[in-house]
Amino acid sequence: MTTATVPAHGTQGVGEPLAQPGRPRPRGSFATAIRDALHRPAILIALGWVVLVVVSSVLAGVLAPHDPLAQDLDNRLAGPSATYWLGTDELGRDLLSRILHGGGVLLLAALIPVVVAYLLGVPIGMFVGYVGGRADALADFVVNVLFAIPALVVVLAVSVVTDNNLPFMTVVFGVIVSGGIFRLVRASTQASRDLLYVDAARVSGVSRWTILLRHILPNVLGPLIVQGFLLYSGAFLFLTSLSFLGLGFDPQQPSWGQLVFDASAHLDDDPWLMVPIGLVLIATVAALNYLGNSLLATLPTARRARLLTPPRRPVLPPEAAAGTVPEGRRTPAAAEPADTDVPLVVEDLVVSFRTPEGGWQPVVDGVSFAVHRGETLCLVGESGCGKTMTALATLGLLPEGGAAAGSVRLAGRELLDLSEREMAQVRGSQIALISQEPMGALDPCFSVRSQLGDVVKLHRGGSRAEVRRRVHELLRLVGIPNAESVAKSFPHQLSGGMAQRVCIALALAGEPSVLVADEPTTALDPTIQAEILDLLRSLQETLGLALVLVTHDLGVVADIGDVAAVMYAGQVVELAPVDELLAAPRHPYSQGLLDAMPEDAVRGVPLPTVAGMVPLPKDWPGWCRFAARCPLAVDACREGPVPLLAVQADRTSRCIRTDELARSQELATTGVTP
Amino acid sequence: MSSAQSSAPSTARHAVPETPLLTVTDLRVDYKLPGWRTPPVKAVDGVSFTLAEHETLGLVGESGSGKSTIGRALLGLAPISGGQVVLNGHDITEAKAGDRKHVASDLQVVFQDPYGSLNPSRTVGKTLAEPLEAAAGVDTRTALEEIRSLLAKVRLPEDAADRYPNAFSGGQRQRIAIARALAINPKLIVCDEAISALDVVTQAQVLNLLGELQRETGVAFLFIAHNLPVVSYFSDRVLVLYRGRIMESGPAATIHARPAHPYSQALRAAVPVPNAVEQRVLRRQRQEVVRVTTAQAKPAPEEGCPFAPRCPHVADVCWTKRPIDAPFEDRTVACHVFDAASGHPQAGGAAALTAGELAPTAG
Repeated sequence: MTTATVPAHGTQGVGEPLAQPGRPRPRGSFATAIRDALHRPAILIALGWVVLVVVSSVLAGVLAPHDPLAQDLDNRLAGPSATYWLGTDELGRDLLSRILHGGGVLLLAALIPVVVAYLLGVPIGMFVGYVGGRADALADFVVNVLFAIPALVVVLAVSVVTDNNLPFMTVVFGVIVSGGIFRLVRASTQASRDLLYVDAARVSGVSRWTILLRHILPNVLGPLIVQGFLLYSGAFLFLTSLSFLGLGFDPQQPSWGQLVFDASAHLDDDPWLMVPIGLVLIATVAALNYLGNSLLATLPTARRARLLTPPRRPVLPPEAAAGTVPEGRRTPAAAEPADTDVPLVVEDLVVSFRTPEGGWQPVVDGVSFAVHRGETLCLVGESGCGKTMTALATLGLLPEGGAAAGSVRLAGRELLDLSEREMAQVRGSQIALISQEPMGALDPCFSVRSQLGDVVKLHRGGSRAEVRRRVHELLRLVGIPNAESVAKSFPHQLSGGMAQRVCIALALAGEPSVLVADEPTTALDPTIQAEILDLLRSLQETLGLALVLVTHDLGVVADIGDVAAVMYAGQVVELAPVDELLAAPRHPYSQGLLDAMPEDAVRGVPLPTVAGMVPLPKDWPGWCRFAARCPLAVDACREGPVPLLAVQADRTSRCIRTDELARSQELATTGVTP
Repeated sequence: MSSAQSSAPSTARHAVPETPLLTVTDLRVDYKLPGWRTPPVKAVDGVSFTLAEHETLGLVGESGSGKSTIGRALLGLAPISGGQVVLNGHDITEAKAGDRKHVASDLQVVFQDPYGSLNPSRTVGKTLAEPLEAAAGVDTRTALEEIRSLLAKVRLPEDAADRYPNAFSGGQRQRIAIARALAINPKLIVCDEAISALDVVTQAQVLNLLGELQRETGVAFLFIAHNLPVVSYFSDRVLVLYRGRIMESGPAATIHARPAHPYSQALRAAVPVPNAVEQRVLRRQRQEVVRVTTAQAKPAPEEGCPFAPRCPHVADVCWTKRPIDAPFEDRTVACHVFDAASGHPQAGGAAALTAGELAPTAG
């Protein structure tokens, strides 16, 4: 019995909620997970073994070469031979036949505890997890008591009282281990109880049990199936132990536990006896456990270990480096490379992602801009336009599978050529990021002081007192008056606005010259947004920062932007000073964004809006990408890619119909309503 | 702005019918905090309003203002600690999930997050059939017919019924959620930040769709959002909420054009406008309408006015006495300046405050 310990006191381990459904899974992903699993050879071997054991147990009567009870006293304790393939035991009975016959009852009986545990644990766990309150408290108490019961002792007592009644013993065992299933189901139910679609069903008057079966059970099912495998192998091992003790199974009939017991009596004079049965037992339990664990790992909710930062940054192959336009560099240099007044220059930036077919799909397609000291450049557009990918590419923070090409120069230094280690030194000290979700950017386990202090130490060093002084200085810099008490607090104690201030302090700790802000105020309330915008502006004035701000709100652009790059389908479609852009856009898409703002709209009159949606990168046409939604589009727009055209000295637009657009704007302002 | 008001088709239905569709009286929702000595959080603190048939009432405020909690309380998703909710003549204050079948046919919801509000493992058709089967008792075959016309109503192709939510964009999913809310022809739909997660173009598309559907079906909306321009564009009347209380209520256009309560003014000035010149003016204004930033503000008083710590017109009375809902022009304002008998040194300066000409107090 070297395989595992008897799960008498270990039943808690079986019942730990192993995977909770954090996110709702897309449909069919469990089936996909199983299909994926079947492609792995180790899983196939484990599955093959389990199937072999089951089939040979079922067909034991046909397959077994001898009667498992027939004694051949002349050949006691014989080794393997042509007659007895695996040898014989102390009464000369054929070992192979006894193994073939000894598994069936065991494998079947081990199903009973699993069924009992499911019948009890699933409905009760779902119900109390859903309704909560007193029912939940009571059920939880009962389960806690169940966990305290030593299963082996109880089952032994039951076997004495019921005169070795195996079904009864397995049912009792099932009741005791049902607590684990209950815990798993209850936790999963509680996690999915407050999902919005469950709320929606409740509002629709859907009955409680329908909601449980339809909307909650699917979230519980995946982990539950996996748990079933583990529970079954536990029960199997437990019953083997029982039969080893001579309990539950007819001592006249062969059973695997019985075989182990017989073999243990002859360990000295015939150790071979233990080998076949030991191998069979180990292989069976290991196969069951391995199947369960592999299924668990293939569940979509499982976390897989992954390299946090690849040591080498992925590089786009030359043929993909130019995006969809193959002739290489298309725009003239936006500024002189080593100009100290222009800390960030982006030229012909292409960001592509690996497609499942092995190719590269560009999502940012030849973006160029330059940001001056003390200036804010806004990247504007709808989701799916590539504005966030552009921002992340400048920081070298593209998600897995993405790679950038072109040129990103920070104070004259080419960032795209740097290794990950060199880039890590640049990030924070020369260019820093403010993200959309301040709470996600702060570590909930550490106080503000220790998080800020770490960054200060990294960039500046100094004694503890110096670091602390600098932390308070940074917090005051971002408009937090009671720096002492905020420094002591943990992220969850901060309001959203306060957390975003702390994030800005974190970004400023390394005294960068360029700040990239990815929708820094989208998650905030209007009055807090106004405060953060004021803060960014005053910081920019005092520190001379160059700011790249990603936003979809033209109001924010009007408030803080100096220059705006309107992006559509991976390209900059209009680049202009903010005042001029908002007063008279020179691209129909910019006009559409502006018109859709409800600012001066009149109640009851539909908002002017751009019909349709942003095309997916794979659907980008070979001509003007906005043509399909453009009210001004003519045939000429569909003849080929439209380059960025100079409209005025400092404005460019990717549109051949700007004159037409200007004329329609004039008509609108002179009062002639279209 | 006056011409805008008169041209709005909504003014015609301002006449409040004798029995409003929804009457909420002194609604309270308290959330217990862990710890037996911690006082409960008053998420909604005595809110009363009515909503007529075909009307759109906007609830506007920031996080923690209780606007979403009011919506959830009406839907039976948040525990009501006090007050009364009467919908279409029925008292639904006590209607919990489970016996909401009769409520469901009158009251539906569109949530903020179009990704979370649709079950990813059910087809759009099944999702839309759910309210039909549950509340209206329609059999599956009739439901299929209904679903086809529902999808057409929200401008989605017919074959959308057989697809799963992950095949749709955020805006399209929100259309599906709207179709689900419309399925059983409710009298009132709670739009809980229904457009807040959408891009500006998609937001405009969905707003236009909601407006069209209202004209077609005559459904009333309780429109919850944090963006005052959006709310005032889409609503007939607006309630401005702050920390669970109504600060100002009145016609949407007036509150948007000339907010009276100091908090409404702060909220109005906080939303940037897409015009660089106007925004520079607004930016100056927003520094005048609040005394301190939220980071510097003292905690709000238990009694008294919740906006007192940030209000430029704060006086001693604001820290100790809860303002009454004072009538002002065509609205009510919960501010001591608007209540001549409040004892506020600037009481009676209502018109000047609304015009932005009232000097700040010493604090």
